[in-house]
Amino acid sequence: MITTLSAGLSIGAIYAIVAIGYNIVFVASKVFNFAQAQFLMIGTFIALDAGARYGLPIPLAILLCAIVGAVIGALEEILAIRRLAGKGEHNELVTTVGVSTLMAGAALVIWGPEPIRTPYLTGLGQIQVFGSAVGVIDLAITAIAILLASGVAVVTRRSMIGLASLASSEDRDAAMLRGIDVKRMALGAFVVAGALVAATAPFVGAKTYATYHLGDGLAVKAFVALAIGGFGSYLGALIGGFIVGLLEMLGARFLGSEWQDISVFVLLLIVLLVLPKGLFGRTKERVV
Amino acid sequence: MVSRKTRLGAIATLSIAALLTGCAAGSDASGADVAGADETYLIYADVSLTGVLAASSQAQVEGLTAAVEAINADGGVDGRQLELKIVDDQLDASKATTLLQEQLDSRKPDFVYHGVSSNIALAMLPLLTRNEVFSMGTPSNDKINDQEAYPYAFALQVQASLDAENAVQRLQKEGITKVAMITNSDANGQNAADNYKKAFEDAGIDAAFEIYAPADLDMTAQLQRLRATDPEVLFVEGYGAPGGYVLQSRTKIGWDIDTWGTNSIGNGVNLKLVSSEEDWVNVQTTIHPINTAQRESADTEAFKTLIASLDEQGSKFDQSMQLYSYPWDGLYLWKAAVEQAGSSEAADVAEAMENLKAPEGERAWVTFPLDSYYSAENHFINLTPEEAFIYVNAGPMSRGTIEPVE
Repeated sequence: MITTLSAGLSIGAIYAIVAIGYNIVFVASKVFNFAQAQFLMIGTFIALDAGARYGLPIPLAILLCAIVGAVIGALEEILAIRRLAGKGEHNELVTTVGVSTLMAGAALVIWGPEPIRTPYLTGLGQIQVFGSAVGVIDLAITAIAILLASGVAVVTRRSMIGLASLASSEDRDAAMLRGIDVKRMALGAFVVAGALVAATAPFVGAKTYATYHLGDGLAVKAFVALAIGGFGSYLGALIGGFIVGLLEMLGARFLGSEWQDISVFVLLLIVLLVLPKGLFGRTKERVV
Repeated sequence: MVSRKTRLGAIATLSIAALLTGCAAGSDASGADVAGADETYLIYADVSLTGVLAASSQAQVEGLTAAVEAINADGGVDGRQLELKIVDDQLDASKATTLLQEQLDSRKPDFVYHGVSSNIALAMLPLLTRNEVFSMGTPSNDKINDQEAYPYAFALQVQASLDAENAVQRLQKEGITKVAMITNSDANGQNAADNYKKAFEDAGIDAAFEIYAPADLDMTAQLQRLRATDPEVLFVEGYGAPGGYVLQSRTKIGWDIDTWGTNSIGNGVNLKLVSSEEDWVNVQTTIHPINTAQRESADTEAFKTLIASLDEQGSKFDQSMQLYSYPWDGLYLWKAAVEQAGSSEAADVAEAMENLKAPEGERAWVTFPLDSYYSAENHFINLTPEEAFIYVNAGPMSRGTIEPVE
């Protein structure tokens, strides 16, 4: 049972990492960046090259992944999203889907179709927890997701930049009147989200390998995690991710593999019907 | 109001533009198709150089190139040189048929390599049959083996069911009566599961099955369910990363049961890329002998020539040896059939292929040590399960050859 739970938590942690990225961009710019999962995918390939080709130590690999993620995030916002600001959220969403496809295609062309193990944190093995085997990398990824969610939540609530991004998401016009540069907020969000998600790749890659279609599967599950947890909440993204991961594992374990995805989407339906804003979704207050 | 003169001029201009556009080549990757029809044989190869099968396609192109060069250096077929034309269908069946139709309109090929995926092959075969064009390829869907529908099509593969039959023969030999199997839920995985399920049922072997989705990253839960059934052997199916995830999950739960990888793992995955040595404990994979150092053709001139050509082409050698040797074999088998028939007409070549007498001397084809690959009843390679597959310990692949760990 412990093995199943730890596997569910680590898968959920990967979903949560992407969901946190979704949240950062959504909070600051009201854009749902469907391409966020591809940042993790690109990050795994950067980690692969960093380790296998250049022999960089893991701290430098993390930094390199973050830089590449930041640059791609900036390019996405400047070239694809900014031009559509104010022209309808559906246009922006569709554009991010296009960016996602572009990134997967680019990865296929650059690194090829074969999945490849990344060189960091391999062979960590398992430890015994209450008599059950638990993968060390599973624990590491879970810890990373918790740290990421906590850190981003604290920065958002306690820093001026975080509060400014919340303000611009709640009321863009009011934020502009208050002197907040909403364009820079949006750009910053894409950069930060891209950097943070990609930076986790040396850890995540040890479990998932570098493969060009990694992002495709994660994108939808991370969205489900965020919908369950609540848009706008980093704690919600984390808990939502864990719930999705655990439900997948427990569903497959006790009901059968065919129930794995069904159980997740049944929960999503229930949550959307009963709590439309998700478990921890932020309620917008109107002050007259 | 547009004058009559202007209108006629516009129509003439548009007509010329349309004519020039129609004359422009499709997306062919190499070769011109306007050589003298009587001077060369046209070898038309449809492959998927873009997309998920790009690496596999590249290997097959290299095998074809090696064969064309070797045959031409040896005087060609019946004194005529071979001309190789490669087109990239981008894994799109409608594109494959469009390119083929354009080729048929321009010059009918003498030999067609009909794609690297079953979807593509099944889209091309009706057109090839209507136009009486001989074809071969590696796609392995059983529908290709329909001599009535596709009398000129031959597969450079053994039938998929042989994998399961070989496994059952081994289980029976070792007295194993209870097994478990985990497969992908995609079309390939379910095809494998169906073959194995039928083979187990026919042999009276008790089997538990679990599936995983193509996007799954962790198969811990499925393996735990299978472990609860207490099997003697675990079968694992999975092409690419999923195969690695299954082995990784197996290691994590500390389940060192005897594990036999199916054809997709043995012949389709370089385990070094998707797993590590700790994941290979008690793991064997089913594999074609050509992919091992024990291949019978290792010392033949044909095999040495193939390898030398691949090195000269700068091949990455990152695929199983069969992907280089199947297309090589295809062209040499076709050569033998044309020379036996004394004709390159599809019907004559097909009949000769079904009744092939191996030329004297060392065989020029290398994948399987047979004098003849096909029969009138079977356009897939005629082999028994034990001839088609062997089990070896899991290990990394290097230069197309698996290196089993002890």
